Amino acid sequence: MNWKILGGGGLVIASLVVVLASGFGKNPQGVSDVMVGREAPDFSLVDLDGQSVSLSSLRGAPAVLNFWSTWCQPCKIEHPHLQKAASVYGGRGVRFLGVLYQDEPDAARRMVKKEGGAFPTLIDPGQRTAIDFGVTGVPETFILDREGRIVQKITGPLSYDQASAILEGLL
Amino acid sequence: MSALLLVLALLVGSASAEEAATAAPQGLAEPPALAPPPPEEVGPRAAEIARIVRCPVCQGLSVEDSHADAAVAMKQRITELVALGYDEAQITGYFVDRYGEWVRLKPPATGINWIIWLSPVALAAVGAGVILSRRRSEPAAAPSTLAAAAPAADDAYRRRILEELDEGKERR
Repeated sequence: MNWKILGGGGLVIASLVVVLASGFGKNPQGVSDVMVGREAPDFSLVDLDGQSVSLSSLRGAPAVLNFWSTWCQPCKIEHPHLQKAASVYGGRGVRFLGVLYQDEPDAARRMVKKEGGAFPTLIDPGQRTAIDFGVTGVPETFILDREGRIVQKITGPLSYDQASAILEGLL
Repeated sequence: MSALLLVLALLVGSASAEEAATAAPQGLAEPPALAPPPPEEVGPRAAEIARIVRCPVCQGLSVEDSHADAAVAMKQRITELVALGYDEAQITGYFVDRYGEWVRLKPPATGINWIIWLSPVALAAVGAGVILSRRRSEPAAAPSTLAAAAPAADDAYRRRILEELDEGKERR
């Protein structure tokens, strides 16, 4: 038996195992979790009704910032859950905001009219705000505390129960 | 007169730098490292940087190579930042700040990333070492094994063929 070849092969395999093991230990969808724990980037955008909204104006209350689009099926699943959460927690001081992602405002207006719009949806020209938040797809939801710090980021549809559990902890 | 022009130029210069700093997105609080480039240089510089930034909705494609809306928006942002005078390190830093190290298509040669950079060289060196050690262990002028083995292996057949030929002759 050639011990040199065996040792070299073993070294290569051991290196691969270490690299793969560290990779498998990470959530591949969690690529932009770097934003959690940081102050949310400020923005000033116009909503579907033409009203200007800035993030800094929401300071002092927990906020839910949801990036969505009309062409996204999971967003449609999530929509009634967010509507319910906004109606329950909106009255308790939580601010809800939607941000339109890669979509036409008219399409969003039609959907909001049909499915209900318990909170304003903002138009994000050039996806500046989406990039500032490190958004990689929709739906993605950022939960902000009273100081405007991102305390949680949810990739994929957010359920009412999930939102409720997070918001109860912030109130 | 020239002193007045100089003062005016300095004031305009400081005002535009201030404007650039205030127009900078979050996370890019520091001023641009470079002076705003001439318009004809913005496109090529932006393309160069877009080639090393990963498209977040694609499989292994750069922002430059992808036509996805997200990649187009990121390329647009890179172009804006280049036009303001931000350099490659500042712009890639801006995206890393939001998307993590993952957004770099070319990982920097620091920390654990050295494994990625050095492993191909190390593997090539190991391979070369194996080949060299095998060559050295081979006998210098070993005769062709085929040629050496041929007579011995053929002996039995030869003998039999010759015998059969002899038998044939006798029959005739």
